[in-house]
Amino acid sequence: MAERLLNTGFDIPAMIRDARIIVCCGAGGVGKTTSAAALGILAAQAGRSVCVMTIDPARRLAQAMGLAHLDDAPQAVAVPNGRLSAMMLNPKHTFDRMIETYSPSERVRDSIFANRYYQELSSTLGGSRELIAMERVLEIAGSEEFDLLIVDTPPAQHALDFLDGPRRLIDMLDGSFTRMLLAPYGFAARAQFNLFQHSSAAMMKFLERLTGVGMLADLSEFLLSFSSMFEGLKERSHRVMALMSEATTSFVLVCAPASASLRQVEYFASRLGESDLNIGGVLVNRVHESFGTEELSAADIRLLDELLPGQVASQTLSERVDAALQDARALSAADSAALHLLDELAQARWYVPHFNRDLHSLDDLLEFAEKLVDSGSVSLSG
Amino acid sequence: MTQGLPYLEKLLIVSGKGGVGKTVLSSALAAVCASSGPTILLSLNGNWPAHPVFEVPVAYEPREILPDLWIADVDSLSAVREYVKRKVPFSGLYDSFLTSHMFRDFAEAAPGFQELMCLGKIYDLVCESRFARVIVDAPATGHLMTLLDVPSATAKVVQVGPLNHNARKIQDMLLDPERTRVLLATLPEEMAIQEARELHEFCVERRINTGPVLVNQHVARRFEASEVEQLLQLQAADGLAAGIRAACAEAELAAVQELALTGLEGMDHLLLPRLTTHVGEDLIQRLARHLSVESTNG
Repeated sequence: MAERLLNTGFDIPAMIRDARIIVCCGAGGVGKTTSAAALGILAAQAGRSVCVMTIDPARRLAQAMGLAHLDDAPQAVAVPNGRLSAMMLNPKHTFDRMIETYSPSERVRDSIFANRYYQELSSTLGGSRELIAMERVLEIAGSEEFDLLIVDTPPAQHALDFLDGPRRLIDMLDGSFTRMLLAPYGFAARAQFNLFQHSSAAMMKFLERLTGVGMLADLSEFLLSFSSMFEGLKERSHRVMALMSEATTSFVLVCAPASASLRQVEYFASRLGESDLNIGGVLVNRVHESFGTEELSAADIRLLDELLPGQVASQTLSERVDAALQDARALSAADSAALHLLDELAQARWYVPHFNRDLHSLDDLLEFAEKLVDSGSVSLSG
Repeated sequence: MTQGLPYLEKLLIVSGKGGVGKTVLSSALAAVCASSGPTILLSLNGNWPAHPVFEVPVAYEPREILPDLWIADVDSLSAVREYVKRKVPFSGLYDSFLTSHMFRDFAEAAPGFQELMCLGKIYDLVCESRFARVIVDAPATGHLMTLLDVPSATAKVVQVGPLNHNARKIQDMLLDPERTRVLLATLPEEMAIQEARELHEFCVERRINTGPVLVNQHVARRFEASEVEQLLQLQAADGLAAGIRAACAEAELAAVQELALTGLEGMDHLLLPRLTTHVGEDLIQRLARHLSVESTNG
């Protein structure tokens, strides 16, 4: 734990040199994928062998990396002076493979694949997407191929779904409902005899009334097959948690300078702290430039009004230039006001300026990475 | 603000890429609708300490926060509880089942069950006559697509019984062009627009009523091309003047947005201006004004 107390904040070069895993988290649309890719580029250029993994269903990293589509397997990205790979999680593919790996028998495997629940609704099984992500994190972290894995998490609306999801799923499989389903097959401890059996029969009747006859039979079949993989999954889940708590794993909280996004960062930070996980820092993306405090001078106004004005506008050019300046300052002031929400946080903050364009080419990502290293140059108003 | 909206469906679902302003836009839509009848704004598992726009606590129980504007958060667990209470209207033993671990495990374990219960709650609110409109501040594109497929998937998996019946009712509502419309929120940016298009295609394929695209934070051209050229020359000559730099940056942004908006070609869309006001009721009122003014024009 001592290393964690010595954590000096979001020292990008150090984090990039030392971390084995970097996890980018934050709400949707704040630039997690871009940040993950940019950190990947910086690390690759610093001589490390890096894999960036995204779990976003919208294929954004693929676009950002200039690839037509990303695959479940890492693919090389043409970064100058570095070795970088990228991959996008294909949930269905990984889920299938997980079942192949952990099924105790071919019969179990086939019955899961054939089950209607699995075919139609496995994507809505709470925590399954996160479990799959974790599974892939373990696979890649365990391979010799890369020495840094950067994970772009699914947008988390609440707390740390990425970490909680797998645990929830495991708890569910280990829970009383699944055990009740297992009971008729003789796995349940016989010592729990009468009372348990009586109430579980009543529970079954109750659930049947709720859902319809037949539904429970199908669901039990699905869960029974699924829970036979339980030991394997549980063991993997513990290993992932252990990996996440290591000092060489850093969490980067990505956010935009808007109050909703920043409140979430506060919450994430406290949750990570509770779990004793290592926060690398807070990356505030899309910060508007302040444009100082200097107003248009009389000379500027004269100069502007001597230019050849367009045909349509009802205001003079200098009036419109002034209006643009005031708007830009108002946006910056709004950012600064919102950023006060981070005042209580001890972690270092890095600011990346608002770009006027979408970032979706490798050159864009290189520019973003440069701004990230250069982050001190963004000045905030007020 | 008495014009209201040109869409007559009772259920309006707002979705789009993460970060495009779904919560702000759905709040503004709700404010417009509230001026012509009781409206409820729903979030799904928002889990917010307070609503980010209206800054009031949000709970499962609808609450009137402004005249004719109600707000509620449909969280899965409460939706499941309500469904059960209605299906099995006994107290005693059932109550203890409901609060048992076993039941909670069941709700977690049955794929799609919680999603179906949330949709069921939306269905109930749409049926309620006390609300003229139901506005849903929906999850981001990918998640919404999964959600919208739950009723048909459930109906396939569970072929008889109350769940099947419910799934069908919900599916009918989602496919009914007189009751439901999916509004596509976006920013004037290429990737957000692409997601809006994807969602649009998804809805069209499933015959869910959709459109228009609501373009948030649009920056209109303030300078003509000839003016921009001269401003850029000035900037090159005297790069430090803040006003000139701000004007050039804004002109660049407007041009970039214009180009991105070509991605909406052939799609019905509505441009909402970027407002420099802080998020809050003031922003909502201004956006609401734009939504209703725009809608009377268009």
